[in-house]
Amino acid sequence: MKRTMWRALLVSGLPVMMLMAGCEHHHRDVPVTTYHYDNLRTGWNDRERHLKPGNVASSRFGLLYPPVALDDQVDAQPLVIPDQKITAGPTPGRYDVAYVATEGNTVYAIDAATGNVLLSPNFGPPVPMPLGCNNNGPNVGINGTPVIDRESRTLYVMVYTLESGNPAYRLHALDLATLADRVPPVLVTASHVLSNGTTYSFNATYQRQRPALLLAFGNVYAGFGSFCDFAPDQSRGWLLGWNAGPLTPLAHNQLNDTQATSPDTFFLSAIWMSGFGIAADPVGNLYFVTGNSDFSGTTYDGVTNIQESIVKLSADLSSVVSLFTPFGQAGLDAGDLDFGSGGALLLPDQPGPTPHLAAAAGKAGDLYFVDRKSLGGYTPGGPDKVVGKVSIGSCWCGQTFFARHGHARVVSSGGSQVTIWKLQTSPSFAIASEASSAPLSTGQAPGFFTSVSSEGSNDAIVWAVSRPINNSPANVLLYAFDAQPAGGSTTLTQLYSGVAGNWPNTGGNANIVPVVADGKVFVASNQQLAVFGLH
Amino acid sequence: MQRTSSKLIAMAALVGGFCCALPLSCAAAPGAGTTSEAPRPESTEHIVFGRIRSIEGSRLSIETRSKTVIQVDAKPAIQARRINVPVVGRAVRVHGTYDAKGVLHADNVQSAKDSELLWPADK
Repeated sequence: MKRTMWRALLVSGLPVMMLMAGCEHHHRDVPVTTYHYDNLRTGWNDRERHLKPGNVASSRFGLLYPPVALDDQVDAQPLVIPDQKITAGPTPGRYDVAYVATEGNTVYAIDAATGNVLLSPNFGPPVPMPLGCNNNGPNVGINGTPVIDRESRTLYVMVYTLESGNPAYRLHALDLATLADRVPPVLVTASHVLSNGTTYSFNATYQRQRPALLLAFGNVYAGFGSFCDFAPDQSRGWLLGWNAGPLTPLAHNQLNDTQATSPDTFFLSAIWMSGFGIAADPVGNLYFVTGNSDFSGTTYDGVTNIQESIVKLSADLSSVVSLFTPFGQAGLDAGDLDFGSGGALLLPDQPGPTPHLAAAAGKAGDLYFVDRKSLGGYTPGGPDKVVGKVSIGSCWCGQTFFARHGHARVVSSGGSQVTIWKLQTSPSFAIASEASSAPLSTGQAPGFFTSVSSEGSNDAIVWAVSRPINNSPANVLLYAFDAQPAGGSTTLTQLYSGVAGNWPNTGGNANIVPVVADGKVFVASNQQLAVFGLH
Repeated sequence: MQRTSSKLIAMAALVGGFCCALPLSCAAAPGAGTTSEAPRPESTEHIVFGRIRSIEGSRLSIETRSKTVIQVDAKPAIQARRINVPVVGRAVRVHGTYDAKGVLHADNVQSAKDSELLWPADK
């Protein structure tokens, strides 16, 4: 288990210095530099010393200060850097800083201790209701979660803005101390040759940058999908990458559908994943899940079109290394039942014959476990060549991983319930439900997002944020559950639930990830950041 | 122009044949084919939430939250490429204008949340 944890930490890019003895302040504070804590996208902070089931269930736990007012809806997960030096703005100094990016294209640096806004530069007007799509708030600006390189003290963020009246994406590399651009932001462009030899170009008008950014192998990666599946003849799933230093584009890019024609002139094969992050393993591969393509259900071939699939891609974006496509992919296409409504969780190494696992679920509600070495391919008519499969409920969601004394657990959040699954990987794979929560008060599309905090193997808490169930007051709630079922019970003990914000633009799902760092829980929603902790 | 035309045909084919590709009934819902709401003389923009009860060509029957059934002409949305794949039973948000016969000519048809509690007031 030790080795597993070390590997996860190294992959995450968490600074090794944080783990070294003799550096007490750094040792105890946990930076959150990327979506779901690490590049495996585990969602597990296993160094939380303050929040325990006992005190979270007490009256000591609650909002630490009034919610911080922000200028627009927040779809991106907050990031947190302890003991960060701020050198610009009215109050320079050292702070534990929460970085929050809004759909208004503002990036906030907020003092986590007080809620005071330290910096708040704006990066241009957002795009109002792109294509008339309402799967978002009134504006689309910064939609995907940024990513931080702690070593170079740089925050990478993708801004969607109007330039001369036209939508454009620019990737920014911001200095954490000032939130000023380190290098000129790069305009996102790309082109790819289609199967008939013609060249297809990236068009920002039709592409939504929804997945969380990935920083790995010296590159920054961003996935793209559509707005509401509108203009499906113009929108296709892209994965693009840039060198993290000068922001020069990589020589290759990934276009998921390279077909020149389709029966219904409908392409997509988008990467959106309800905001989940592109994942990376430690050995040079990227992972994501794709959505639907032509509704005829006839365009899949796994080469020129890789819709409804878990995709393993080389870090230079030059080749698809492996993929898994459920045998029912045609029905998923026909019914707009995106597999890619959720992301791919990469599990830390496990004992047994299949040490490298990945897990993903989508709208159809099946959670697949696949071998990362060879994802399983496509088996027409089935059965799928997967390691395991369980039903979790329809999922616009993402899974979380944690371990208790070396025993792996996966937390699912399809439908309206949290379920903890117990994994056995040696001598053979087996999975069983350990316990579930009572249904959450959650609406919009089925599913929601979770994270887990613990101190090593102890005091694990599953955190979740619900979606609104109505338009008035469109509240979202923070939930906490004891991850250790009490006395063999199969029902998780609820430790806390409380209003954590609101989400009035209910046409687009609240895909809010609760972030736990150093005794605080950060929940960003519409025009506010709520910070919970112990009084 | 060629592209637009072929797109229209393709999407019209979708709307006409789509439900038969799914294990869902293509039969018209009770009340489909009739419009229980009074014809609207004005050609102002409206937003209506409802559930698709039947699909025939590019015409959808939508049951609103008040259980009235309205006819939606989706051709403008198809031409504008602003329509999600329609599925009988699925909730939709329709933006368009009514004609004198009470048909809602939609320039935008997109998926809505399944729960009616999340539908904003119709406009």
